[in-house]
Amino acid sequence: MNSDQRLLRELEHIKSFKSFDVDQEWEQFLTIAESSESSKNESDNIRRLSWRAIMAVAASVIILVGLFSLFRTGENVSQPQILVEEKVVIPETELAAVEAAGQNDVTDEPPYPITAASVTEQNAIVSNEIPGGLTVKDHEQFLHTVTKYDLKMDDGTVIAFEPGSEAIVLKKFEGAEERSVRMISGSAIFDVESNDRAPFKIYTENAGIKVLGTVFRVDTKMSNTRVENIEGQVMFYALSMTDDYKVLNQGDIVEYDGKQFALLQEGGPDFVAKNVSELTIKSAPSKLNIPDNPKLMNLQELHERVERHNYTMKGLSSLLKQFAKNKVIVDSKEVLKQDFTNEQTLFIPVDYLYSDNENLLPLLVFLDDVIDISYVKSDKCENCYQILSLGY
Amino acid sequence: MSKIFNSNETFEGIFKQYFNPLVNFVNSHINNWEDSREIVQNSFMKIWRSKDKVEINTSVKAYLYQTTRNGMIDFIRSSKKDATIKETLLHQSQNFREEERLDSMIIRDEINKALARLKPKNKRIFELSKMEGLTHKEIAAHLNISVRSVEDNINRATNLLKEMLEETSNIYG
Repeated sequence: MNSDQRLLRELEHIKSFKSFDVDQEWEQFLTIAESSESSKNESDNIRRLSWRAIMAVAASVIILVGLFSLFRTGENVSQPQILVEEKVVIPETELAAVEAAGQNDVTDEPPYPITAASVTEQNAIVSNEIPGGLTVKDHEQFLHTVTKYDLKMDDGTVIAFEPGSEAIVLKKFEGAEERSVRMISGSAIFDVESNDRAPFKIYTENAGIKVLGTVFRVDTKMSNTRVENIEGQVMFYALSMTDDYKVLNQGDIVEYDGKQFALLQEGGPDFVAKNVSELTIKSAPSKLNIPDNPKLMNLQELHERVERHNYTMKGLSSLLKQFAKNKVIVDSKEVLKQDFTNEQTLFIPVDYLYSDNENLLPLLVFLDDVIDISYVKSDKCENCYQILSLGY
Repeated sequence: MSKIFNSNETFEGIFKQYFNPLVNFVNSHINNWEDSREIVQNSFMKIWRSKDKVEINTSVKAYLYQTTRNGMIDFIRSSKKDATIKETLLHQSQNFREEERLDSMIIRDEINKALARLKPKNKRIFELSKMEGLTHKEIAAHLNISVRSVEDNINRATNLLKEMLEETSNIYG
């Protein structure tokens, strides 16, 4: 974009730019900074005094504990504090039967399903505290699997855990605003039931995975999280406040070590739509209800804001607006929602799918929460994005 | 790496240079001027408190952007907004292109400063043309001057702003 274009673009927004008196702001800042500096010095002095007092108390406690241990008799006081791994005791009869069949670690239906309830029954977990300081809330369950185990959730989602995995999962996915799984360690394959209203997210120590598609595997080991996408799309992101995230396509394997993402295997190219002028509406009719849906009201507001600029965005935003109204215009002919088939394909001029309008990305991000949409950064222009799929 | 914040004079310069773009950047997300001002003041305060220790291995702009954005995200998280709105705001604030939004705010701030330097009549003509969308003829009739004079004024202002814009992009990269 040359300087003329840039100037014109920024001039369009100049009215909404508000200038504060920076001299006055600086004076105000200095006043606060100086007062906070003096109070900091005071608190430093207090802290120094308190530190001495804490040290004195700590020394007394150490002496008392030492004396106490000297007086203890008949006990093994020097026994180190070892955290014994919590294991589930499988009834011997069932274990023997499984071992005899030679499939104690490969069964689809484990002989002894390991759930929070069964773990608790075996007294393996004595509190809600999980090693590492994580807490299991009332509506969650902690799982430690010793065999392969398929956790079938009430919404149809299946999580196939590998032996030795640990995770905290909601007890019920139906009705949850967000279907979340905290993977503590181990490996699992997620076959996620689609639900626009409740996003599915997996959290590991330092990364998050947002499900955009259906089937994928997550492995966690220490600070490393590896995601293998088997079908559909997933968004894999760092939990720290960096902008780091990757969208994995079918076959991609990406690892995050707490600092950066590494693409270990690139999936097949077939997954990405070859002809972007073909947009497939996956299902109809829309579940969206305009008057009752605050997201959509915001969407309309956003749409109006975008449309006021009257850029090439118009085509796309107009199409999206039509989506929200449960109808789509194809070649100037209105297609009503009852005309949709499950896999109807729309042909839309490619020009509409690329835009360097600065409002495009916020709109796409916003739409991501409202309808089923996937997009990637395009190299066509500086701010261009390519819409891969749209649906609702 | 530089310890750019260890001089009061430099800190004041940076504060005054970035305050308005940062407040406008935050406001573009949370849509509340008073909260936006407070978030930016607090971000500068955070930097001020550690100004002797802070080492910047990126640009000052990137550092300020990161600190302010973190402050904004903390604010959104702790706000009493509806969970959906919160998530949307957080989602938006984590976009790849967010830093460019700050660049736009810097340019808008510079445009405002440049406009303030124009003679009142020149500024008025430029605003009527570029911001109000009036044609040269309409402006001429409105101000009772010739169309030629309108064009001259607009060209003068445009050239000044373009120079400013080039200067700004050299300074901020």
